[in-house]
Amino acid sequence: MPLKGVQFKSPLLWLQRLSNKCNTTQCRYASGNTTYTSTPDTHTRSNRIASLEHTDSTQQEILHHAGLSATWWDLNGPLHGLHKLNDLRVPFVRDGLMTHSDIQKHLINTNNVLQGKNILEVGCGGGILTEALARLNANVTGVDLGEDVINTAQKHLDKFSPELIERITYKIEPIEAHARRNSNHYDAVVCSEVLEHIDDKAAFLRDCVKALKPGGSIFITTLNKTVPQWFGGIILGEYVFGVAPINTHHWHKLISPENVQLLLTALNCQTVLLKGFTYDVFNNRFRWIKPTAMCYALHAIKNE
Amino acid sequence: MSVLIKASGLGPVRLVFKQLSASRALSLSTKYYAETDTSKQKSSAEHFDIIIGGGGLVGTALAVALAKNKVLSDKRILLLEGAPPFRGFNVETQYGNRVSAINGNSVELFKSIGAWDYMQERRVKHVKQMQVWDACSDALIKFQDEHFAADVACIVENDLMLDAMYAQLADKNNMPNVEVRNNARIEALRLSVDTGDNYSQVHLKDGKTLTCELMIGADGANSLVRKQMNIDVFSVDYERRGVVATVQLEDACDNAVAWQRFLPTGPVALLPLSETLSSVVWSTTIAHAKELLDMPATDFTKALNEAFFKEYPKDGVVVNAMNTLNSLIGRDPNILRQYPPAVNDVIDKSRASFPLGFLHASSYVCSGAALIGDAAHRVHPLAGQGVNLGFSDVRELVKVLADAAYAGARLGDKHYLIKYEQRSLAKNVPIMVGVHGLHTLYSTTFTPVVLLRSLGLQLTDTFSPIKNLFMRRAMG
Repeated sequence: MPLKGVQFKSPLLWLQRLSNKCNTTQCRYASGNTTYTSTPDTHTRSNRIASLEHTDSTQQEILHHAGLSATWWDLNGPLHGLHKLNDLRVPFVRDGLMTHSDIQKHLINTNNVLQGKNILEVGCGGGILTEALARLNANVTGVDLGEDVINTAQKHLDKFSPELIERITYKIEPIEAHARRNSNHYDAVVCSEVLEHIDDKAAFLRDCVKALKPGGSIFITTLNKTVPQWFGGIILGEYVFGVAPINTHHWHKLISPENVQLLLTALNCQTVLLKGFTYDVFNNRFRWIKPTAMCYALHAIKNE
Repeated sequence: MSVLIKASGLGPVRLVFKQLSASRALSLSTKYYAETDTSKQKSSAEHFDIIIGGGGLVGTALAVALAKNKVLSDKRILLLEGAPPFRGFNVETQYGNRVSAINGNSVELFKSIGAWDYMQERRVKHVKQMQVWDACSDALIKFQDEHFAADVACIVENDLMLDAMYAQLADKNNMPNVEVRNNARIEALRLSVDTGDNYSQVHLKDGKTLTCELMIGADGANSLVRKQMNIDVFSVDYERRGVVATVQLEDACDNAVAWQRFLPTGPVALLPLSETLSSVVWSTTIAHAKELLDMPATDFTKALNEAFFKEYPKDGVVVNAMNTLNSLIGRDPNILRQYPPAVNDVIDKSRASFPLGFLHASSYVCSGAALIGDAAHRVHPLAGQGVNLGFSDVRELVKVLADAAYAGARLGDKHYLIKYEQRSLAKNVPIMVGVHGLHTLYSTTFTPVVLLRSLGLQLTDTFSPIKNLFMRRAMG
């Protein structure tokens, strides 16, 4: 079983490191064989680095997803799970915005429910979620580091969803650079199935929140760091049921909802909803479940 | 695979297996389209979000239900019907000979789309009780709500249902997003799943080309859409015909009971229309059906009365067993037995017949297309379930499409359409198997079968939990 790269760290150590990171100005995070330091005062430098070259592990993620870009929109291809996940995550974002932002009454229960909302999708990949949100009339900006996946997304948009072109912008850009130019701009930031591919989660979330308007919502869906998820989601999910391509997820990059909440709290965001979900292999679809031990969706609001 | 099913005695078992694997098989047929060559849709083609092929009962109900749904209110919908415009319904004229027994589920649908009041204002017959009995024994079952509080079913003329739907569709203020095109025959259909295009293309006989995101096949048992979708069917020709007629009763009465008797040749049913009129649905052999259609009115009434009242020769074993059972469960069959009203005339030109068969599509959907009603399933009319299953499809499909649209999915999204298929299958298959089973069970006079079915029917009638289960299933 190719489990290389899986590191078992004590959760306590993890928490300690996270809280250290949030409380001190110095953010230091080690991952795999790379370490990089970012402090608020070295923003410019780290941005330059991020936009020019990525860490080895990020580069691997980009390559992994670039390899999938040709089959990104194949409903029965290796990424079928992402298509099916729309079933849950679009209503999650939609209903979250309906309860925590002002949506005009006449738009509710119509196809234009997200009209006028500016949404940033970080790590949009081939645009599966981006197009769905835009179809509810939201203006969506999708950013991703991978050139191939963004090309796939743009091609699909031009060819198969021309009616959405004016509402979707795709950019090959690190979130850090994007947030710098668009701080306090978006009604919602969506990071769906992205956090588990990020090394420096604290910096990543900081930039996501930065792009958000005060009172705006951040929506996250990701995999929990639990043994059932490791076995059910990674071992069975990738190797047996093919819910995700092999080698997509790595244990050491997973993060628990408690840790995400902790990070968000430190970023002045309040978690308003946390829901668990899992893949139902009998019905071939994702479904909401009570425990968050498998995957979870989290909705937090940036305090005014 | 379809050949296998037809040739094999294990047909139904294989069919079920096939249903289970249908969604998987389907996934193979969907072509990966992101890399296929762009064949741009012709600018001349008119585009609709949904095109419904077939303006029958189920097709029109779907058009109205889609148009009434708020989430789908910005979708452009087109209903294609090959026939000339519906000639309308006049309450002054004679009752139509094609009537349907509508269950609670279908009434709910009509209410939700605002068609029920329209029908109620004209003529709907509420049925309070249903009696079903066997010609080969004394076995009998009655269905009714406690104290006759609720209807068992409602008898509505098919023309009235169509009229209610077309009246809704004609009201442009009410539903601006639906268009009806009559005399529109489909010459060719190119589904997006085959071409890899963004939209399906519909070529009409008059040379026009239309495009749509979702193609719905509501075009009956010989569905063209189904053929284009490359879906196998499991079908059985019963080699029987259903004779329909409107008949005059000898005496005016409350007439709130639906009657059905299983004759060795097939079931005959008398469905109430008014105090003095009833509708007949008589399933019988092809030769007998022809005789019934050709014979003079007096002979037909005589034959019909005979069908309901004639004592058929009974097997001694069955009679003894039934007597024993009745004494065990403590009931006197003669006290319970009611007899239908006698018929004294058949309305002129009301006699007609239609073929009977069983059909089930191996799948109801593919990417960008779906089947509803008889295009997906057809059953024997003996339990009056056919059109109710179709209306149940309408409800499920509208629900699923609204969900899809509200989740930002395309209307042709297969993941959502499969949900429609799963929900419909769960409702349809038990009923279809049940109705087909009843037909098989009652088309024989073989003593052991007669014995078992008689005991079964009698016990079901006595044991209310099972009876209620059947009733709930059939009444929706």
